[in-house]
Amino acid sequence: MNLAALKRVGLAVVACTAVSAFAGWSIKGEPSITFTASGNVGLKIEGSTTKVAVADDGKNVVVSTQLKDLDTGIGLRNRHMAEDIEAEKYPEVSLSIASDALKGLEDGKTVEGDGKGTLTLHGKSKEVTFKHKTTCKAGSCEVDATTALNLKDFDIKVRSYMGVTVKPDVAIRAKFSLAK
Amino acid sequence: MRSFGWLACIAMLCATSASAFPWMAKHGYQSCAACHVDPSGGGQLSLYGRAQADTLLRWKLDRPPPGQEQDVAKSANFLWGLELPEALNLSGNLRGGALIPLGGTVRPLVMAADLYGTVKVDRFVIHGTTGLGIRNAGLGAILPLCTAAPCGVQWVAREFWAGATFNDEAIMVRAGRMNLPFGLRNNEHTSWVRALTLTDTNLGQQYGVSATYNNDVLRGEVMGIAGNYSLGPDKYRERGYSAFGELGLRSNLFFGLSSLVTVAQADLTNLKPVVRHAHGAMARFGPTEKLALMGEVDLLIWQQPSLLDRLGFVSWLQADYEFIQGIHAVVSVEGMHLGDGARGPSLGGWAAVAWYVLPHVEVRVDAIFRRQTHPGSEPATASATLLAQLHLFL
Repeated sequence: MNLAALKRVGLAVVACTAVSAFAGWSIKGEPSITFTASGNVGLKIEGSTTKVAVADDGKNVVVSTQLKDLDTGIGLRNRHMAEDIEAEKYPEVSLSIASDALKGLEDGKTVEGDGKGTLTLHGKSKEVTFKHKTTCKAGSCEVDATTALNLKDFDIKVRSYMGVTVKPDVAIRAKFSLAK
Repeated sequence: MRSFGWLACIAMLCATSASAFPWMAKHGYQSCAACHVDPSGGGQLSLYGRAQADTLLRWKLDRPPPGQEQDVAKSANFLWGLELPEALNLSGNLRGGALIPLGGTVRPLVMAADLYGTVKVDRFVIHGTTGLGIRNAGLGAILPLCTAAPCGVQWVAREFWAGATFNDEAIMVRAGRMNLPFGLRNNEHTSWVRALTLTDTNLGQQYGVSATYNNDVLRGEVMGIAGNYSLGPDKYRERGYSAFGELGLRSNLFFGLSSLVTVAQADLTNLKPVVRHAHGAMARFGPTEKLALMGEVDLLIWQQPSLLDRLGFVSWLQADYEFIQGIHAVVSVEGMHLGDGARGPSLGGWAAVAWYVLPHVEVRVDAIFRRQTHPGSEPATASATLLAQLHLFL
């Protein structure tokens, strides 16, 4: 149930999108974006989506997903999360990264490090830092990125549900491949 | 003095405990504390647990499409709809049925008739259970005294404790009569893994003090055991510790260790002083949304002056498959050896179907097969028993 948990999911998705630095590339295969939130009394909630879009306008690469696609494995919890995130009013979460920031990627190389992007969620935009490991070979790049968010930074209220409260800190991980 | 009668009770199928579902791990619930008043699981559900039972446990003919899920029905409340103050949690555990041995006489059973109550104000929690035990309430009985089974109707109070939570409810410290923290808290309380470690949630409670910790990847509890004061005289009471810790290796894979050491001046079976050990490992794995696998293996040691130390083991492996929500097929295998000179281990198998047919209602049938070895030249014995149960968890 854990409404608050749902919210985290949305955030997670966004963070993962750090991948987007590859202009002109598209997602290959099935991306996996997961978020992990915790609550009092040892509660742990994981959610995920496999629906991710990438857009490149020449200046920024924007990775996005629809909040309604986030799934925590329990329907009622998904609904509560969508309500808390106001997914109808703000249906999308996105991460925008400057195209120039990822110019170092080359075929046959692995790049590991931190990156920065602008995360937009719940109508609020905030700069976030993410860690990523990107391995490029044979024309495609495998990306594994992680970040952490705080729901309060996006004016998302964390509510309690029958004595259980999800904490506002959410960890996000994204794994996917990009190909030209 | 009420001593040996209790021993007989332990060995009998006097009652099954309230629900404890280690397989909830497949829904990502490693910790039991969100859903149970006892932070290590079993027994009374919290308000959140009631909601989960209605959402995840109960059989439902029609399932709403995504995004249109209804809030938890009022029928999830105490007595199918009673609104209680937030600080007060009342519920009950009524379990009855029949034990049908192969080739034997059908034996009706009232296995549990308990009421649960919990008051939680701020960080302070007071919890108690009370009810009637019919015939063999065993070590859970408070009054009247009983020295030989069958013992008629007795007042049973399996748990009563008071505690306080700290660090955003990650820590609970409590004192009173409690379940021993050890191994899987499975509700097949007569399984050898629970019966031989004396850690079942039906009869195995002891007085003591405990500290419990739960976060999103780690849970555990340590209890100092002061003895079971339903058992007398004092020389029979076990004192020592019991503890477990479990780590989430992945979101669907958990591994834990348990340890228990107790000392008593007199063993209930041979009256000699005894140091009893149980040390073991357990694991829970949810490979798919429908399947949960759980296992436990424990080393058993009995040290008694003037007798050779006995070294034995007990094990339990269970697969729980949920065909559709609310209908479970459960297959379990068990093994044990008491280190008593028996030739080979005893082996058992359980096959069960559980149907959570209505709010607060479970119908369950277990087929239990056991082949038990005995010391010396006594041949092994085999048994087949059907256990049919109707369970109301109010």
